[in-house]
Amino acid sequence: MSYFNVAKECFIDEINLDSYVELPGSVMAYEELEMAFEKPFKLMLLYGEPGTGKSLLLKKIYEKKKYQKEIHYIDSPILNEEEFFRKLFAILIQKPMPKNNKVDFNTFVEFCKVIKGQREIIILLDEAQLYPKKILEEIRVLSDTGVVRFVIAVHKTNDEDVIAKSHFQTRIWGSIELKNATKDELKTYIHQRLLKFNQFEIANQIKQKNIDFIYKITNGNFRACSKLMYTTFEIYQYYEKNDPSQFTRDKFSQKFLEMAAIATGAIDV
Amino acid sequence: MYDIPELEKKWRKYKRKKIQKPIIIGSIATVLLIGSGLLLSTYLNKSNKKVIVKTTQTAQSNINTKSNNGAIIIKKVNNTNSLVNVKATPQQANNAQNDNGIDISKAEIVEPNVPDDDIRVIGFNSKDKKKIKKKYEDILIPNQSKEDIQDREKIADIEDRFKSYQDPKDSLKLAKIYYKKGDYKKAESWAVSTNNIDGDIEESWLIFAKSRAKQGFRKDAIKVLQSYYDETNSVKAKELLKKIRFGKPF
Repeated sequence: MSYFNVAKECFIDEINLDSYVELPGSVMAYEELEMAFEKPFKLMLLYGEPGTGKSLLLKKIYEKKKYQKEIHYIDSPILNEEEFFRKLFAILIQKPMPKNNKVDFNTFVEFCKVIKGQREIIILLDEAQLYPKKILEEIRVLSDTGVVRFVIAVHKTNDEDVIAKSHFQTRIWGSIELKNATKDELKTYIHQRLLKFNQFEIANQIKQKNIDFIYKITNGNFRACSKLMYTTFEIYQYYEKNDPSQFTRDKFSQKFLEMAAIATGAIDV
Repeated sequence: MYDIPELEKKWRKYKRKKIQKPIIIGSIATVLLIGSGLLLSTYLNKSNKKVIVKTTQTAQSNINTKSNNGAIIIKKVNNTNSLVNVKATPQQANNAQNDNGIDISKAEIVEPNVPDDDIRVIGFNSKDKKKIKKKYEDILIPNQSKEDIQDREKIADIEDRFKSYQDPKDSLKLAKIYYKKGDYKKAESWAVSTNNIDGDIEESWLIFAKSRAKQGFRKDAIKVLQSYYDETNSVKAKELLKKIRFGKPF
């Protein structure tokens, strides 16, 4: 098996809590969100550029709170209203919706009023910027009942304004912004991800010069960084198989890093 | 998987660009710097020119004495004004005496018009300063050491003697003196005179070759030395030939 295969897999872009790296920025956001769970919020907005760790944060809080609270995590956006109601039915009634049936939204709202004070449901909605406006409006109405509370994660784009201002302006209890990593955070992120998979040797070889380059290329974006590192180790694997004289095992190859940046389109030649 | 050989080509292109970028930026910055420097110096020169014209004219209008020694004194006065600039008052200029002991105060500025070129040289740019210095040096008679005076007397004596007796020892002596002083043209000329009288004086041939070489005629020097060496097998000629050929000091 390739020496670099494990190192490459450290940077697979997936919502995997095993690879979650606690950094000052993400820890702060997590604590803020955790504190909000103890308050009677209707809506919480979690926003940031793509690849800043919003999904991972939602997943982490879901995993931690799922045995303490009635919490649900919807990771992929639901674009169809019927499908949305089906999902909502399963959450509220705690049974799958029978086939060949339709749901009246008003009955949902009425049901919420009935269970008020008995249940507190938190729904974590990822990629909320992709939801149709009609569904967003229904989310707002449901949140007004005070029974179903929403944490919505959105990209920091113009859509965020649509969600935040047009629909939820007065209902948003608080918002948490996730930012790109600082250079030091990025360094910790890379090292920690490698160390989680016992890649001590490679982690030690990655020096400040390499980090500076990665930071310059990715602007501290975790997803972009993972992609770059993954590609770098793919290139390592190629040379390991075809021309091992192109690298040494005691020094991290800046050349491969630069090649990876070209391959991923981060550098335009 | 990516096309790695293609990727490597792109990487090389990227590296080339990366190296070229600072060079290009550096060149542009240098050009801009030089350009702005030139503009600034032009500006300074222009403003300086105005001031100096004024100073020169003021000084000249105050110097109003009779001339008995034309061109040199005029040049001297002009240069004094130019170099001393604002520091020299007209009274100081009137009281000044030149190195030859000629009283400038008794001189008359026949042509008060100072040529534009003379005014322009008084700037802050180093090229101009050199120009002034050169002009100034032409006017001054350098201080002569005792040795120089003795040498001149000695040369004059030997030359007189050579004229009378045509002794190659004298002409060789003159060739040596001039070579030592760095006057290679005269050294060569005296070496030729020596060879014409006596073609077997090795030292004269060597001085001739060295003088030619020092004047930049290396090929001539090599040709002469080679012929001499072919005839005589002289060790000194061989050594000198080697040095001149390989551009070593001699």
